[in-house]
Amino acid sequence: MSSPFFLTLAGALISGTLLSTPTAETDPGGPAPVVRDRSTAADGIDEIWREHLAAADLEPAERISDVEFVRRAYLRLAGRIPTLPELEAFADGGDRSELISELVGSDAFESRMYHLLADMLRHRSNLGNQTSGEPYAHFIKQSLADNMPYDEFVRQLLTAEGPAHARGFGATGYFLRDRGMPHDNMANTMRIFAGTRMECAQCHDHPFEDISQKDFFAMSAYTGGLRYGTNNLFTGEDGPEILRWAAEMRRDSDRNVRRALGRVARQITNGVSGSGAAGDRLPADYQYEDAKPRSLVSARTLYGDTPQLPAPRPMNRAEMREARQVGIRANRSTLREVNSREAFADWLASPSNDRFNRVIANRMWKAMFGVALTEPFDDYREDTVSSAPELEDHITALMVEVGYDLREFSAILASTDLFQRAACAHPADETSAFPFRGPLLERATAEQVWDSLLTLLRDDPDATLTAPGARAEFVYERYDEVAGLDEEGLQELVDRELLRYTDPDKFRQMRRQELRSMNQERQAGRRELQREFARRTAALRRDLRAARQRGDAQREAQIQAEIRKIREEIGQGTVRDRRNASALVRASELASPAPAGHFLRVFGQSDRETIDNARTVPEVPQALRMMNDVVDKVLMGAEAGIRTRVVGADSDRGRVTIAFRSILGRDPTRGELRDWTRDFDEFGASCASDLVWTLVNSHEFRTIR
Amino acid sequence: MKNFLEASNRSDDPTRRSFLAGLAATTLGVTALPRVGAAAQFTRRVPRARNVIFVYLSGGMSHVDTFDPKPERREVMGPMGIARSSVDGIALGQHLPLLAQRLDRATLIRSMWSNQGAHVQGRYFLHTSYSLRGTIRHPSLGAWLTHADGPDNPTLPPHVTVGGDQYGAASGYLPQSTAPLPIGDPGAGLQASKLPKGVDQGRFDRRLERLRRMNEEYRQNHPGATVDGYDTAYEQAVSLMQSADLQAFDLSLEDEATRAAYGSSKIGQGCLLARRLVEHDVRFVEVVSGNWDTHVENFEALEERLPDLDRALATLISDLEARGLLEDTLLVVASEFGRTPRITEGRNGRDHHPQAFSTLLAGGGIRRGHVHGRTDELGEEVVEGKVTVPDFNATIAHALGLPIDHEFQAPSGRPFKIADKGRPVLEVFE
Repeated sequence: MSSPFFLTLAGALISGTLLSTPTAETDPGGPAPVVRDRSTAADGIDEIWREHLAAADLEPAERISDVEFVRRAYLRLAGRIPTLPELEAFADGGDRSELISELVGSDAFESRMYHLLADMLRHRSNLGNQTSGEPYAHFIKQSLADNMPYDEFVRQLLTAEGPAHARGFGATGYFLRDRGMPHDNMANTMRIFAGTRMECAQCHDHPFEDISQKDFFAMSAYTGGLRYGTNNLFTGEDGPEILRWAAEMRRDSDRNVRRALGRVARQITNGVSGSGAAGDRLPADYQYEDAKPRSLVSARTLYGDTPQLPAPRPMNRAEMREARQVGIRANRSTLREVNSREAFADWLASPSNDRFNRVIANRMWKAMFGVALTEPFDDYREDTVSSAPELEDHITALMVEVGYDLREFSAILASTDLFQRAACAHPADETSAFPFRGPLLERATAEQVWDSLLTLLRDDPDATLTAPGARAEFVYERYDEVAGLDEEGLQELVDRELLRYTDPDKFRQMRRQELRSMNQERQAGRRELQREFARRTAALRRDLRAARQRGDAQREAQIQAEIRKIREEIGQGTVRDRRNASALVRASELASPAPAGHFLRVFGQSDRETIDNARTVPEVPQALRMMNDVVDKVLMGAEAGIRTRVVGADSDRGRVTIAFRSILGRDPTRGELRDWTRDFDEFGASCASDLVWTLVNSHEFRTIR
Repeated sequence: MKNFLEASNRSDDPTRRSFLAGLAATTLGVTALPRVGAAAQFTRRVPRARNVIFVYLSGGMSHVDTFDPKPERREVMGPMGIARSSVDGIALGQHLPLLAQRLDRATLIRSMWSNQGAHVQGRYFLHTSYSLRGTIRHPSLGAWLTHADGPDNPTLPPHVTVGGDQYGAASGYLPQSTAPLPIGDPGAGLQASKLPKGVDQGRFDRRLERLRRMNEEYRQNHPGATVDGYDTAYEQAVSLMQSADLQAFDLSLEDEATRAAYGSSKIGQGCLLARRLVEHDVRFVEVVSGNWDTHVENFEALEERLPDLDRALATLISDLEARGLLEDTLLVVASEFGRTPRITEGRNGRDHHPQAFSTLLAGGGIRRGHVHGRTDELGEEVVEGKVTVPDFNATIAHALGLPIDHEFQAPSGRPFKIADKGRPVLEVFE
């Protein structure tokens, strides 16, 4: 999953050799150099943090132990609890800074970051209008894998052009997510990247802030002329001929044929084009005196230095001719393109844009400590005051200093003394500022809970992570296939789509048939894997039966662990199988969002319809799932890691200890040990599932301490 | 938490007792609230509506293509035609022919008005009557009903949402016990509501007891931790598992013909589930239907979606009536806003339009075959009988006999009313 460069970097970091060396030396083309030693940077934060506490007459919370630290570090940086071996290895004299380096360099960190960005960007696997969101996911995950600096990431989103379904154009998803709504898109852009809420001004002057409707249109002017489609039609050698053929069909056929043709063409033309016209037209109902409705507004930034751009104007005849030649339907109101999107991106994602820096610094701070220094951090106003102004200024500057390297920034935050302090509950009065004696004691996100349960199931939960583009492959394949079709092939596709309108029943029937044969294919594949599994485990299963007859629980558990390994190897399966929503893989491998009713959604995963709306509120179905579904059916299933370990321990004492360590990341207290060994005495081996049940249902399990 | 753990060891109707005990414990947290008896003094009429089915069309359903067509104006209607209704002189959009035949049982409000033009804010406003603020979360109407008037069926949650959408119905500053039980997929019903195989009640009780002990210790070690909500959720879940009325969630118990009449769509099955729940005395069921945000290709999208809605609503009205449930069940159909009567150039869509849109009410003492209010000839502005979103909620609350004039105090001490300053539209009542 990682680029070769990153593997080198991670390796070096783990061995500790890089901790104070600029990464630029290892790879000049890599991410921005770490300009300061990580621990010095962390100390800088701590110094201001302590002053902040002292001013409020507060003491830092207690320092946490190694085992508490390892669980927290895994949850916050890798998005899951540590496996038992990971926990025990660390407790056995692990070094905190080495662990941090290891975790920020892992695939798991990317998985965790993906959710953070997906919530912010409202990334969905399906963008509607026959547009797949998988190439977009590919872009987001690839950027994380390459550790693309955040400012560059934002620039690429804002300047993306090209066909959405072709390899290499995933960033177009940013505009396609808001297809047909460039104004909402601009409001979202200013909110998520610049912490500035402008959406009111889309329809009228902002009631509380000094933002007029005209100001809004001056901003949306930067994306003026954007088209949700590409000119890049059919790439095969008979491309021009196909275009003529399609034009004829459009002219000569009825509405249904045109619709069917549109559906086929959209598979190819889906995308984004237009470099930005630096102009937008006011709405027809514009009500203020300072301009006429429908008049052209020039691009102007809301604050800061406005980039120099030519004034917007409609295309002249020569320009229109030229545009038509490349397939743009230009008319007298089409504006000339002047690359204003790029100018806007440079203005927005710039070290001199203070709000841009503040928002991302706070976003990352919140991911590590649970509360941002300004809440909410996406609604800065003239009178906004941070809960810790000096601290916020400091981390904002630090974000720029590390070159928007989110891995390094996270590593620095995790290296602070603050991160080694006991978590504190939020004061009951939600309106007062969080005092930051330590991080926030908070419920884990839906993804963290899911990925933690997966960690209890398998020894190598991160092995379920696939390459950033794995889910997008079939989209690319389909694109290449359709783009390369000749007239005959296209005619077939059009005929098929036509059925949608002319004979919907037959169309549905055909779809069912297709699905059925696809399923049969998949089942055949699965049967093949099952045969392989049966063959490779035949001897083991014989031993297992024998062990059961002997009543040798330990040996039984051992064999089951071996069988599980084989199943995991075989179960790597195909990408298509992984798309199955019930697959037990890390949450970032599943569709975004998971389907309604999925465990993740029940636990509050964002529906990714609105910005950052993941939830951690308790709901009855969560309790039902945890009590009745998760434990006895899954965690205590025959080959589940947690079951094998607990059952396979050599004493009841061992069983209790292993369950507590695996699930809660700590040893049982004396009282807990006594109570549970007594239960094992009284109720026998079945008590193991009661123990696991109790621990995963506890407040403690779903909390990041 | 304590309650359900203790009670579940007893054999004599443990669920009812523990549930009520739990409710009492949690509701006391907010304010001295008027319960059923006290509520009466604030209302001017004996409420006919006991339960609510609130069909929420998320995204903003186009009013001119559905409840308020303008057949004279081609520039508004585009390719959209109309369907004659069972009420003289009233027509609906062409894709609602079945509902049009039931209009003699319903009231249309064609003069809705909102000042919230974005989805999240509009949805919040529709559900709570208050604007979205950074510092407080307001309760939705279902939570108010639960809070002020309590459950009728002690073993089922009084407040349920079907086909969940986030940030719609919510308990706000009211106790967690008033929060809706979300059902994602109506066809799948309530998942994981039975004890797993091999775990009997005795063993389950033992587990609960161990859990209570652990959580108690956690509470002591983490002062101030907000865990009450989870205690309540677990308490309600346990009570629900033991409910004799669990089958209310199981659509497979309906015969094929009924299921088919509602349609296999999500909205159809959601409405059927809502009917089953109301039949089992659940007080407030919200059925959410998504994808009404037709900025692009409005007409194609509606052609695809409206027939499902049409069938679902028409069948629901008939079914409620046939079962004698329409008398005390209030059916509400609403969206956060309407859509621009002007068809957007180039993309055949309609944008958000809060300053004029439509809703539908039926049953629970609502007038039959009535239209309230009017928009101008383009459907752009309200010209008669303006109903604000708080007015609309006050009307629903009034139908239920809720104390809309009473000032409740949030935990922060700020005073709030159920529908803010909304006044009920008395004209829509029989």
